[in-house]
Amino acid sequence: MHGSSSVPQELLAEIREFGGDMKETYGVPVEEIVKGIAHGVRKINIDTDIRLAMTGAIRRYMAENPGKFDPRDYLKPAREAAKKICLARFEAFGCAGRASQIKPMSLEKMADRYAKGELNQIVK
Amino acid sequence: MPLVSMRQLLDHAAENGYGLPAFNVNNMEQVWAICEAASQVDAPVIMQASAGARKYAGEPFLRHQILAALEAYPNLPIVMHQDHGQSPAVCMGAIRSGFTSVMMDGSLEADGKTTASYDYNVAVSKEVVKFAHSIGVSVEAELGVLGSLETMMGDKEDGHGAEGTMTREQLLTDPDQAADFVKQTNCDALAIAIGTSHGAWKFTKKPTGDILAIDR
Repeated sequence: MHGSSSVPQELLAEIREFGGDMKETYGVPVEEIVKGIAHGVRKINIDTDIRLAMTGAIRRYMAENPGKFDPRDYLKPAREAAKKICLARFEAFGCAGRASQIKPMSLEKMADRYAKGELNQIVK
Repeated sequence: MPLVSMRQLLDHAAENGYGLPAFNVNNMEQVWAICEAASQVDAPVIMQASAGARKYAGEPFLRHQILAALEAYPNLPIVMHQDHGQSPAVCMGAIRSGFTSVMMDGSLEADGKTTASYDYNVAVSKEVVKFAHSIGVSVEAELGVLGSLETMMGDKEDGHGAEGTMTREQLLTDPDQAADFVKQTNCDALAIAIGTSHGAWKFTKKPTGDILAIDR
């Protein structure tokens, strides 16, 4: 799914609170994406939500700490804010606990499976 | 753990009924955030590089940051995916530099802004599937044009997207055509147009059921 960021209102509010100019806008609610997953959506692109989270955190940090100038100081809260978004999406989409279930397959093996027709799409 | 193919993760997600967020990456802080979160909850990872990211950081920086994540988080299955490839050549270039998954967006012509014909889309997607699958790399294709049903305009975002006014038929993928497209191309994933648009400006009012559940 493309265009699937949720544009959380609290992130817009944080950006506005600390001097940002964001007009009224809405994304796709996480619960609607979860409904989509139940209907077969498997890949959900997320870009904007991380941008908003990082910008909100940086604006807040700079406003609250006008004397700081080391990029590490404001990038730390920015990456923590991005991590929070990632955690929430992994949990909501049902990804938690799945990594250790996956036994990595080499690309050679995948090529072999494509060649044998094992991965051909079944269209009803 | 080596980089894995996106198809392997998609199949696992389909078999177990879950969804995979695919995060765009541009810098170290984003790669770190995604992998720290994934590592904390044991989640598989798809990181993707958009045309805008390639322009900002350059392909070598993007690639090496994802490879750094592979080394720093050896327990995570990670897919390195190229978002919105505008031509078979762009996809070939990504594969050559180690991407394990590519998107061939043939919904637009190679200029990244002119809407393409269905036949063009099938042809370029098929071509990429042929060479990618021959070495085990997965392929995402796109059918339909992303844009706003409020304004009927295409969405130009991050250096990519349709320009100008669209029809409702263009902005909503036809399910029968989607079935035919997958049958003809054998792509691993298909991005469809369902009324959402890239970027922060998707809907001017809170989307309700009538905006999100659309009949065509």
